[in-house]
Amino acid sequence: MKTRSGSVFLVAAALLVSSAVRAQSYGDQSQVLTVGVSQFRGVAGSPSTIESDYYLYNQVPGSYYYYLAPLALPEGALIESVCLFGRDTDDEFLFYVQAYLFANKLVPLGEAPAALQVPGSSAFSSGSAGYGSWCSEPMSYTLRARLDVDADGTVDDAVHYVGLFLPHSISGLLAFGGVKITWKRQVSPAPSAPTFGDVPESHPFSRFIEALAASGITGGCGDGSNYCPNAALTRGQMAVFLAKALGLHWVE
Amino acid sequence: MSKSIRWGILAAGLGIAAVAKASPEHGGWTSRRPTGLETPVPLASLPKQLVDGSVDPRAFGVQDYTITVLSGTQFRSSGCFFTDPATLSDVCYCDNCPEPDHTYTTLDVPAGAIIDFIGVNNQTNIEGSLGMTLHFRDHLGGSAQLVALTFPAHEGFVTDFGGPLGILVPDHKDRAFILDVERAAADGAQTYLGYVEVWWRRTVSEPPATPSFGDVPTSHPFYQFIEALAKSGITGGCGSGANYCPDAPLTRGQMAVFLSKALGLHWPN
Repeated sequence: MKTRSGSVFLVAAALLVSSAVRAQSYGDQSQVLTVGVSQFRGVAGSPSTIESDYYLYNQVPGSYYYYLAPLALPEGALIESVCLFGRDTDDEFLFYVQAYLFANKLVPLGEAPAALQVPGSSAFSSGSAGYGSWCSEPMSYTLRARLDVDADGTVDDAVHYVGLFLPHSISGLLAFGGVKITWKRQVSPAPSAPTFGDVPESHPFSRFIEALAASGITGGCGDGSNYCPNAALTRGQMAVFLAKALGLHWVE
Repeated sequence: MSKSIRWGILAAGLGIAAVAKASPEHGGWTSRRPTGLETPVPLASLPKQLVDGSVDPRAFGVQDYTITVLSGTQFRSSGCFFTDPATLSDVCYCDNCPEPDHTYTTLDVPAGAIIDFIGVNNQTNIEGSLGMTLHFRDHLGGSAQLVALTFPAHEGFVTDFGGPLGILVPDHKDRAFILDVERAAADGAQTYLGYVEVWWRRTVSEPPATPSFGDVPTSHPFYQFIEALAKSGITGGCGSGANYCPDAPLTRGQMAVFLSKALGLHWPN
């Protein structure tokens, strides 16, 4: 048993690029969210059994499998590329694995559902290289929970997913291992109407101060009509900013 | 060597013990006291934050442990996966199965965190004849697993802990993690994986060898922290950017830039 399981792990270690740590770095830097195959659910009967090499295969002739995984990124995340990890031994270019992002409109009872594929987010497997990763073109998409999904001029509530298409190939083997999304945090643009009298739109820190106000981290100085951007920060005020910003909470 | 004897030896060698019977505390979770640790830790000083593996674990600060719970429903199996609605467990029935079953999930723990304890809650119908191994690996360029633990199997859902492990979670960008639980092949075996819990805490990165700012040399008492801000893109220094001005007072406006950049503050507008 030990020997057999050991060999399984060696294979996995050599080939596996799925699995995930949900990227949680802070600051203004690009980072990677990996959505491993275990996070996906089969749609309409698509089986969710993975092989011991951590890949989903479609070995049923004539079938097309679909999978979904939620996209767990914060509001305002800037998505820079989508990469697919998989296996493609089919060099006919007739069958391929495809991963893409889409937004699903949350509809009230009785309304028609709608979905919007995120432009430029598709990644296709291709070629006969076997195991590999394939990426979308560099993209620039800001993730928003409120957007016009069905292009009717009205902003909708939406939720984003990673979609996956895994057909059966008659001329090779296709498998899916996971999706890797490169993204970065970004600060909102400043609103059109300034919140504080002493921080007009032209202020160099306007965007950042507005972000604090909109996030409930500051209520301004004095009676709240100003922010006092040039006033020195006391250690006491620093404690309030930090504790509110991080929602610091501990268990006794 | 019988399997049960081998487990006993492995468990002793890895400092694993902890047999805590299921109890109703913690909203139905079993007792979580790790035992058999190299340094006994008072229970009250251990659990601090409990987060479900399906959400972003966002406990901040460098306090004691955040516990990420990965329920059985989040695991995918190589052979015999289904979820028991009664126990919300990942269940494996095994009849004449020639291969061990692997069930795995992904782990969300931030870079720079220290993982200290991993607990596995499971039950089996064949006491002492089924084992679970937990594999937590780094798959950059086929690099090896970070830790392998062996846990005993039980009748009735029981949680066992391994640790303290002291695993520093490396940079995410080119690495990925898997939590793999192996269920041994045994005729007639019926194994449930209740959940896996991972105890971790945040740390601030070790400082680089070369300072980013002229006025913050490696000997500066805040060197590590100022470098952490610079490397994360939160500050570009003061003036021309060659210095950081660590002793200059901070204005409220500057504070806003630091915080909003650090958190990527974004609101639905």
